[in-house]
Amino acid sequence: MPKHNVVFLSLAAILTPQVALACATCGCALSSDAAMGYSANAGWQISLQYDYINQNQLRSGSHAISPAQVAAINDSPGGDQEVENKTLNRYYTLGIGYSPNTDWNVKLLVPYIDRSHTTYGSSGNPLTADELSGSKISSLGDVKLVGSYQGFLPTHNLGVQLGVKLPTGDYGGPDAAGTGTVGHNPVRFNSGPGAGEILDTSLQAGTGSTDLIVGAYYYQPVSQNFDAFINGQFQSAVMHALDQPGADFRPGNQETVSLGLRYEARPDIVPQLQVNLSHKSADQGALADTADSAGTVIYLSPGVTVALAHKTLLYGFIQVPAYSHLDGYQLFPRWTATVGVSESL
Amino acid sequence: MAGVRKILLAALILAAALLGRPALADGLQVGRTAPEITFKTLDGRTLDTRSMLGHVVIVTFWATWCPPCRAELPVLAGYAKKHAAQGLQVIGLSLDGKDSLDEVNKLADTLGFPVGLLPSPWLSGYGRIWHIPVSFVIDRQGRLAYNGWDDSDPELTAAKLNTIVTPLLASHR
Repeated sequence: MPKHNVVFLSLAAILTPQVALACATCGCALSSDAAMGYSANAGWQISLQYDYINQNQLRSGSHAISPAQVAAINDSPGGDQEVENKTLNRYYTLGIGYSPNTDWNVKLLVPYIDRSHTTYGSSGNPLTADELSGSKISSLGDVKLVGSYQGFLPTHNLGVQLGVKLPTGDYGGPDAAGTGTVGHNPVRFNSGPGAGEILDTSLQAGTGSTDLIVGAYYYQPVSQNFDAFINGQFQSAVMHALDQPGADFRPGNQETVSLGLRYEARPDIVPQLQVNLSHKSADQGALADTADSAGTVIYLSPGVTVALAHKTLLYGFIQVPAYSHLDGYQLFPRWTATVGVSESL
Repeated sequence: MAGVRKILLAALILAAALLGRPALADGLQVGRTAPEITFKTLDGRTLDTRSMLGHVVIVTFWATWCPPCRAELPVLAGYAKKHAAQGLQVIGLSLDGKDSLDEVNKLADTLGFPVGLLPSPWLSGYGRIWHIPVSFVIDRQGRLAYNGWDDSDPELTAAKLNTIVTPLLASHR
């Protein structure tokens, strides 16, 4: 006789699509959905999430590489390889969700980007501190609006997502002639020998693109104390404002799959372990660093969700890269951290 | 890599520390006192199994969306009616959400035994109700006589009720 798994979760409160901001192949793959539990409750939800991503290690392929090794490319005749130093990202993402009933949910995600970046440019060896150029971004990023439907099963444990990322963050780069700018208020380097030059387009607060987001999720109890879940999301630019010849930019497609286990022995404290697989295709266009923007990463992400009150959840995760294969030379984090709080109203 | 190992170790230690006292069903043993269940019936009464000492109590967990549950419930209802005079009490706890209350009420009206909505799948002493149907039987002394978690085929059939419950009803009140 078949047994029917019971799949509603008392910790479930809110649906938050995976945060995937403009940061090359650096991270952002954590499933906040699974962190908070999938909701089958009607009403409003609000959340605030903080992501800390310190990209302070140069990697190429599957290995770390020293800045001096990258700079050596520039020591050769015709060598022209940027030697990035560090990108420190802090993202503050406000989420506002509404579920008119147990089947439907719509969620608005508003990120605020705090990013500092330093680079040696195309310097050769020996690299010295006075060759570092720095920039700082503190502004609104690209907003996402994602709808979810989970009415396929009476247990609401299978859902699909459809959404859009809008070009609300500042974006841009130099124009084709190199004398002006394209885009909307692109940030410039503010220190070092590159001061006054426009920051790389991929490092701006926004991408200038309108992206389509599709996703799906499924979860269910696998024993009295464990739930298993899997979710996936695909994001692809369908329109890009930076479309001028010689000054165009289209961010690469991104695919993320997360799977994991939640330990559900008690409803108020739920430890979980996620495995996050993320693949990003190369950025395209004259303003893209096509050779240094694609890659595949697998993160191991332990974390815990705690119910502070009946409808208030606090969660924290650490992401540790277990595998990475990056095209070209990219700054990469040794670990990332995420904390968030959500409230069902 | 040493840093990575330290982070993972710290996270695991934190997780272990946070686990504290999980609401496991490990204490649920046949022959031992059954954990008390207190619940509110659909018509607003508060019932608890401890006040049912002297009765044989069947606690069944179900939901309207669960076909095996819907097959089991009429069997339980018939058995409850037949053996009520012998001190049998059946309790039905539904895992439906409040949005399914009309359907729950409609089904409960056909059963003849008290039904309540379980506000959370976590029930102290019984652990997480992670699959249904699942049932528990408590004897007249308040001891657990049947643990549905231990049964790979936990639907209560007429044959199973005769094997498990009927002998308990034959004992003196």
